[in-house]
Amino acid sequence: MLKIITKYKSAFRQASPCTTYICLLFLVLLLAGCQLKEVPFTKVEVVISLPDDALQAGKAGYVVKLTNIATGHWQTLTSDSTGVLLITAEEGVYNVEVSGQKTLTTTVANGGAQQTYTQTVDIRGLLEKSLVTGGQMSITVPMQIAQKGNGFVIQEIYFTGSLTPANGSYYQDQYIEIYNNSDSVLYADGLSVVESNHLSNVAVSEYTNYPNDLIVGALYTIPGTGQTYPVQPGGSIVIASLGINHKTSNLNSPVDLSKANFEWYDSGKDVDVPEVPNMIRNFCYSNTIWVLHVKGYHAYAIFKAPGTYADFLSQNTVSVQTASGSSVTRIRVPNALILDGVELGAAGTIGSKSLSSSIDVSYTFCDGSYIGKSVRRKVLSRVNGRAILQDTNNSGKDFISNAIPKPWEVE
Amino acid sequence: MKYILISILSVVSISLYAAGDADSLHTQVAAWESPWRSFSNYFDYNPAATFAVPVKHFTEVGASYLLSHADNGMHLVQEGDGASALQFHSESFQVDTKYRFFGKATFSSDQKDHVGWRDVEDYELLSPYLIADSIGGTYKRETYSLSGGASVRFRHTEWGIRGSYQGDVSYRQVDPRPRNTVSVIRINPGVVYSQGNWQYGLFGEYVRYRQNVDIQVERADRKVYFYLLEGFGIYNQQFSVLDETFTRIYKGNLYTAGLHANYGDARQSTGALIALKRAEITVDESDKRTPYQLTHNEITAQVTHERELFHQTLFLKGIYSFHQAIGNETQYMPRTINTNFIVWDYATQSDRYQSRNQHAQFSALLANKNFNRFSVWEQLNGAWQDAQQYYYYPYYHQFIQDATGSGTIGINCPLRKSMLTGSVKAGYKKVLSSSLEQTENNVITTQLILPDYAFLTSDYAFYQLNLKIGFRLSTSMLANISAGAGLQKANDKQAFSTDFHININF
Repeated sequence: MLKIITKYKSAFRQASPCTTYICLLFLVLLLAGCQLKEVPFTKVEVVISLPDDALQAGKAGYVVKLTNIATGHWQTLTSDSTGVLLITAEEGVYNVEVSGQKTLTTTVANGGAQQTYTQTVDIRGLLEKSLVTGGQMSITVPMQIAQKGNGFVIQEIYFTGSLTPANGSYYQDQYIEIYNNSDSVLYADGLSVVESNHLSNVAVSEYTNYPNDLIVGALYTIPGTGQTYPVQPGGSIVIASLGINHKTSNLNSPVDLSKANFEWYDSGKDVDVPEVPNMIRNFCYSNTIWVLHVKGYHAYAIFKAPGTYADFLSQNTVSVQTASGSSVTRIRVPNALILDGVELGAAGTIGSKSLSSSIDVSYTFCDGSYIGKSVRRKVLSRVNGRAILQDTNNSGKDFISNAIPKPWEVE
Repeated sequence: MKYILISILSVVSISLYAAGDADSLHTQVAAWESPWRSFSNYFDYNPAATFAVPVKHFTEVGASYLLSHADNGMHLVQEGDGASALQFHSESFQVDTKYRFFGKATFSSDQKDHVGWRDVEDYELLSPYLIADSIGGTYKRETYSLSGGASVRFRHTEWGIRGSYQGDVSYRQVDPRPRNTVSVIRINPGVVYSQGNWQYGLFGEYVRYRQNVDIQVERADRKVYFYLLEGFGIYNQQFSVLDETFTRIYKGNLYTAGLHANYGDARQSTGALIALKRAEITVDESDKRTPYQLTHNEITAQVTHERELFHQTLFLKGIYSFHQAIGNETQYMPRTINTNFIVWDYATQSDRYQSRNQHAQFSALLANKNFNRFSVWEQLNGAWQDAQQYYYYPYYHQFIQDATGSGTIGINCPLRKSMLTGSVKAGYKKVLSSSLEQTENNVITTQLILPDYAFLTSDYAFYQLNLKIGFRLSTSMLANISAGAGLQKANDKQAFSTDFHININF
């Protein structure tokens, strides 16, 4: 064996420069192959930016979640009162989600006084596909109070009516507009509009025995078999008191409702426009016709009964006392069924609310009656041209007061 | 297909033209298939190292059929639990005074049953960056390959070159239906310099690899979730998609360089070889993205020794190889143009996967080189393997270290008009240590990662029996029929394989 080794040594001594070069080349290749380009990390400063109406909640207690969209791996941290978090993350593209549940206090003018309401809300922020790179960087996440209504919402209520040229009262041009705030087709069949029995100018609610219900005095329902009346995403339906062009009946009226989708019709005592489908009058306190309170003392809501309305009415008809002390029959609508609700009130006259704060924590209003103005929901954002209306269950923030009525329009 | 068959026939024709005399046929075939050919395998690396080929004329055409089945837990998920293959081949090696010619052509059609978690071919080369669905099924494949080469000797130097083309198409016939088209072109030049009892060799190899993966779901109302695997149960959640089709192209360039030296005299021979291999593979997807790059580095070193012992020949061989694969992943950020057209911008890139495998093997064979007499040969093999896989962030790993030992006894029995050869092998694989660290809680973990790990970490015994009989058909033609059977047996499960071969030698 030694002899062989000696011969090998001799052979290598005689090796040509070419052989030496090849041996060195092997060595370089070998070393080059072992180097790893390590996963780079970046220190990310996540800054929580609250909207003005949520500043009172403070910046502590928000959960910040960074999710790498390629790997799906995520990490979470909870913010302190500074609202600034330092997170070390691998370089990549991330979704940054921030969320927290807070109790907010809303103060609404009530004449010279202030009315205060509290509400538990979700405050969220999302930055999608943020590039995390460069070793150190800062990301500011704008937060907003979370949307509640991702289906049907009340877009507009025109309740004030208008004056005729002769200064007469004209309330026949009232309407309620309902909007599909989702990204899919919804069906209006079976959707009901209700009016609270309670008046917001009454100091104390008569219905404290029904904390989880809305006691209503009017309940009108859109007919249909389930898929008769589709509403496209970003589309709306206008429910009129009377489906005509009111501009011809009253030169001061701001609306033409001749193309209204439905009208509420009170059989025998109301004017029926045959071109406009009628809603089903399931219940109404009025023995004649139903008119929206032109001062806006009621709350309005939309809901769908889980079964037939005959069953719903038989199970939810209750006897309640009015503010004057008399006993009347009304309908109880569980809050859990309500899709959306808007509390109306005349500024300076708010006594107590009809709607639970889980449906509407405050109220919206117009500055008078017969002024040809409405309350209309604000546009939060637009996705591919479709408007998403703001719904944080706080009508004092979500609605434009004293808006010019514009049925079928969003702005 | 037509060109392949013409090529095969051409090789056979050349072989017939160059066929040797009948008396040496038994010896030539026996030497070609002798157990010690693998001990001096320089020719496999270097087409100019024809000194290591123990025959001067060898020509064979033949057919083979293989069948195997494995119980649940005795196979890798991506290999399937059963296989069958039919293969036709033609091979020739001819030596002239100055030139050597060699060539091989094969066609095979095979099937693997219940293959899971891969919609690509060559998954070992391309792992962990595979496309997979959770359905799987029977994989069929047709492979065509043609290789040829020549060497020429000038005084002390022999120059050689070998080229080959391999094409295969593999597919499944139920949804989702992957169709993988693989083409491999190989160029392998080499040179050997002889001086006295010494031979020095240099060789290189370039391989161009392409695989087009095209997966379709034919049923109109159905979509399939395509997982883009990244190892350890991780998959790319940005681009894995529920869809009706998926396409991907793997492009690879493989380079090998090496040298060897051999000293031999009448009583003994000693040699050494070292080879370095580097492969760079990129994964191209639609939208001009190249999300993955794989780099393979491998070094193989072997030492062989052969000497007289007890009137027989002792062959010794030691091999050590180290293989490293590095997976580089790119992340992309979407940029929308004109509201509906998405361009993927580069975001970041890093090496996130690494495998490091070491393999050492020692073999000893005592055999008689005289094929005209009855002889018995014995071989012992011992191997050690250390396989490590890492994923970086999240930090996962898999370590498996095992050892394998086996012993083989073979006979060479010349009869009046025929030659009988056979061998019996028995061995045992023992796992020395293992660990798996990963916390992905998904279907890939339960259906792929854990079952594969359980198989790789199981101990089992294995047995192999081979018998072959060669008949002289004429003065210049020999027929060989052989059969083999193998068994792998763990405590409560087993896998078996059988193979049959019919060959004609000229």
